Amino acid sequence: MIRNVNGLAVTERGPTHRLNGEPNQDACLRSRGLYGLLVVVADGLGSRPQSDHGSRNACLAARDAIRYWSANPLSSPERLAPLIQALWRVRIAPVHPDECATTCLFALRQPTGQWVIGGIGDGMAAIREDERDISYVIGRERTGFNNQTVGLGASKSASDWRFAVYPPSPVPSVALIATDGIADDLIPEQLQSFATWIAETLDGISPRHRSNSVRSMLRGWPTAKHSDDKSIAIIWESAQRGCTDE
Amino acid sequence: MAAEQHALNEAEAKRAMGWASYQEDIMSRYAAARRPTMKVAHNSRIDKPARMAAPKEEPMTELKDFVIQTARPLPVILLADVSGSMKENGKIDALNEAVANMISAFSEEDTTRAEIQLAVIAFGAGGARVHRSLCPATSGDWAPLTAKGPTPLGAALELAKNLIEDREQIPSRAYCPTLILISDGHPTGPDGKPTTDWRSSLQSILESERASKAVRFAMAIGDDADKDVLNAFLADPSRQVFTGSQARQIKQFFRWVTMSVTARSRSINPNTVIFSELTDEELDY
Repeated sequence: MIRNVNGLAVTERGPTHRLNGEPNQDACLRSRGLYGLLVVVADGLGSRPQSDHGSRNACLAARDAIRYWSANPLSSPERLAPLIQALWRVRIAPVHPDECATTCLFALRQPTGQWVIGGIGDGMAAIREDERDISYVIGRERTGFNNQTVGLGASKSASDWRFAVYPPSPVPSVALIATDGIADDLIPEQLQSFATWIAETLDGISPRHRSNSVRSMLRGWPTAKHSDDKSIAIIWESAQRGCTDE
Repeated sequence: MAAEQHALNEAEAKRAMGWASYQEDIMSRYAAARRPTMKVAHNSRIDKPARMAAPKEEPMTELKDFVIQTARPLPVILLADVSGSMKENGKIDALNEAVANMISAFSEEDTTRAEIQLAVIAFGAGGARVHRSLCPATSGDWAPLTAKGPTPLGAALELAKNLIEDREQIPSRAYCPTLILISDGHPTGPDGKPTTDWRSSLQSILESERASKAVRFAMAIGDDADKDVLNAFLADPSRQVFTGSQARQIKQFFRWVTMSVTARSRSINPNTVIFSELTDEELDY
């Protein structure tokens, strides 16, 4: 069955940064290329002085890494970890990695229909492969507490990275990635329903208005006293009815 | 300026990756923070000013069905020594008053970014018990503690560790808990005899995945208090045990802890631990 593959990535500055006139420390990216459709979110660690610089370049480094990595279909996803790390360090120079540490999560839907999902740090990366279940790659249950994470510039261990590959699914799939400003407030048991809901809702909105709709959703986030920057990215498959790529 | 820089970066990226055909948009501080009236344009590599009318679609309204609506908790767990010796010199009364004041101060904080929650574990006659279950500081009245019996610190540490490790009570979305130990004596077993079983309980806290991350404060009441126990509890040579023997100093200690917790709850990252300077000038009231 031919499917449309749609993607969206939105970031919104949190109330605290808005109030203080400070930059968004999150960044996100949606990119389409020969490698397929890619979305990336990054959450600059709040305690670092240039985390906005780090998160933005993490998105670009992940894109660059995916591009080179995809050239060889036989390379394993684990190869992406040193690649992203190295490209990120090149991009952030001359800033020291300690000063701009960031998380970096991505989801890639390849032209073959295969999914590659992974990253480093907290937040959430998950895929709904059928109507009943959702698989977490990152974020089902963290070991520590809020805002305690590893990331680019804050980890020296390859074991901090997570990767997963999912084959093409017989039913349309949805991949969802988000920074902890969103992930920590989502009800885990409702995540599958949330993925379905957001994909169906976005499908019903004209592509040019999707970003604004999601941005208003993030501005009106219903959690009391929420303050974090928020980034969410989604790739969803749907039955083809003309090109809807945004 | 930011938009120009952003466009330059993208142009540079396109040149470098000229062999690839791609479409992308990237949003960062440039798009979301500095130009709030601009949006990422459809199929665009750089941001363009918004020129369309506001979206006709209604904002998504069912979101609350999927989102936890309560604020992220900032748990505070007090380990209170209620052994018989706390009856002397009005110490238990001062402790009760200080805790009541702390709860009142937490409740009055309306600029917090987190919901301060408080649990009290008392250890004395009958062993260690949860005197106040973990709940928002704004809820419930303070039931005063009474002092009697031995000092079963080990059992209290076990209870604290179990509480912090319990993801139902303290979910991972919570900010780092604060653990406060206040004691005037030497740890004993339920039979009142000196014991070292608290060491294994403390070690299990220091080695546990979550409890070891708790921010710890300690106060030794009385000059004869075993400071080695409290220093071991802090497990940080750069930190000092607060010492006092008077009711006034108990209140000072709790005022200091209250300041630290409320400052955390107001900060951009409530996990940033704030140890304010302990000076008489600040603490005297």
